[in-house]
Amino acid sequence: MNALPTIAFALILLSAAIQTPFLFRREARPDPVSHWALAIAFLDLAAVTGGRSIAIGFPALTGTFESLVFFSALICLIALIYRLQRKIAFLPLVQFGATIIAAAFLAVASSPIAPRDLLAPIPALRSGWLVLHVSLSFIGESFFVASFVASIAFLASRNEEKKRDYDRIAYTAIGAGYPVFTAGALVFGAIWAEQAWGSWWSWDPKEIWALVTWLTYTVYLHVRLVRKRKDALPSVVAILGFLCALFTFFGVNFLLTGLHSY
Amino acid sequence: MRNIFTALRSVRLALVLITYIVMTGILASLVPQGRDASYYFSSLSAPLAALIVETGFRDFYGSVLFLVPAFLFFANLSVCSAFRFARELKKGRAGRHGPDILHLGLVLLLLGAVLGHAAKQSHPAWQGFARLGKGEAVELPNGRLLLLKSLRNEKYPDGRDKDWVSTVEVSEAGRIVIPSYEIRVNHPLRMWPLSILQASYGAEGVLELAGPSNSTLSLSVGEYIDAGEGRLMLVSVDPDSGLATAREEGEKGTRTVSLAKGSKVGAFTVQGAGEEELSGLQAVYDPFYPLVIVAFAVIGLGSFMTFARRLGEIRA
Repeated sequence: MNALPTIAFALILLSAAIQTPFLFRREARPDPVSHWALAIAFLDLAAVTGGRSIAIGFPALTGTFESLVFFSALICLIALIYRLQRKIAFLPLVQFGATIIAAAFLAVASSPIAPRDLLAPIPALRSGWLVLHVSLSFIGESFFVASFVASIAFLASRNEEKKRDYDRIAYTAIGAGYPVFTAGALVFGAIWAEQAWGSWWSWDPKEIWALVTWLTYTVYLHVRLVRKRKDALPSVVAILGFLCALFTFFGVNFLLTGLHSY
Repeated sequence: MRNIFTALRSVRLALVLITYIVMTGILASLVPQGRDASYYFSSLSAPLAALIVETGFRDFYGSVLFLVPAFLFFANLSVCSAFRFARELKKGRAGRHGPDILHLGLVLLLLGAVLGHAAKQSHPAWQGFARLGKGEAVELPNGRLLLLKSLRNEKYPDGRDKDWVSTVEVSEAGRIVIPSYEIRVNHPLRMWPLSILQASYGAEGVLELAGPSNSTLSLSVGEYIDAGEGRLMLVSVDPDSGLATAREEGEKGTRTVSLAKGSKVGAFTVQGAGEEELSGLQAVYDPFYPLVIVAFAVIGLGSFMTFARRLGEIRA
């Protein structure tokens, strides 16, 4: 069981290595192999989450290590779905960026800041609402990973056609991730908080940063959807949104204290 | 008037307000909230501490710095939603009401949050915390009596706490209203507008005393008893040795005494010292709980309608 995250990490790095030469080709053609490595890495990480869940008798999503493993698995899955779908243009840089981010989260999971202790959750964390809160938040954020990479690529690209495709990828990813993140981070989080602490909202640092992340993506949608801006502004906002999401996860956990310090 | 309406329904105003709330929210998460002025002056430079204290930033979410923009945002959201709804209705595009429903849900949520907060502030006596032992009862703010029939601390095989469970009975004017209900962590008892939550669980030292005419008395840590020439407060109990420490307060002053089985305390005799398990129950008053739940459902419906249509457009 302990070797599984390491194997997944190796598979993700292998996938990134296979993708690398295809980044420099003039024609945006996908490589035929790397996504299978991502698929196996996803199954591997899902097995880690499943195995730990069985061991503690509760969905293993309540610790830093478990969250990072789950998040990495979801990013691998998003990269895989993006590679296999045919509705929006495939641009190798987006898949590559998501792969690197999945590897980075898994690397953090193997560091001392994410202890692997197999501990069943404390009473306050034993809630179905918590499972929905955490899992849907990460599903939403895994879509934001794709938008983050596409937005960086948008700003870096000078090819107008590619810019349009990157914009469309970012917009689609946020369009899919935003309602899921809203439901998970804010709605189910508030319902759980009311049941556990008797208050929907406590202005706790984690809650504030989740709200900041949500509002930033709200700005993105209004800038992109309502005001129809297709210049650099939506991309900048999407990048800021993901940085806020990262701070909500890491910064608040390690720099600030509050109700979410379990 | 028309200009005010136009300004209130503008997306630009919404973006400005959201950006303001985001920026100040970030700052407020970095500045410890709700501390005394002395805390800021002792840990920050004098000008910065003065700025935080004078502007009300130490209680940001209760200050005009937040409340005024939040109210403006609420007004903006309401007017914008109403305007957009009327426009789409005129055009006869019923399928495009997703964003309106989503915005309506947010308006309801803000209303529920503000009204709920105001209700809590105006009914402080309706909220509270009680630590009860088995068989003990507490009168609830709504006049009902909550009796703790039993309590248990469920454990994992490694000895860590898994769940705290209190089985309670609720009665009103001698009539049993709820015969038995298990309050658990994350599983409160709802008696609108009150909710009773399982907030804590612990053991407390207790001294068992026998009095005249075979009467008995349990004295918990912190409680007083008449000890003849003065009074005695139980300070601590060591359940392993069966010894208790108490503070005797009388005309001659205060002294610490050790109590064991057979010790005399006024008219009482110590029978033993041990621990009693106590359940911490919290009463929360929120008459607008149903409104918040409805708001969440409306947000869910609006989100689904909005994004399902948008993603459908992308796929097409």
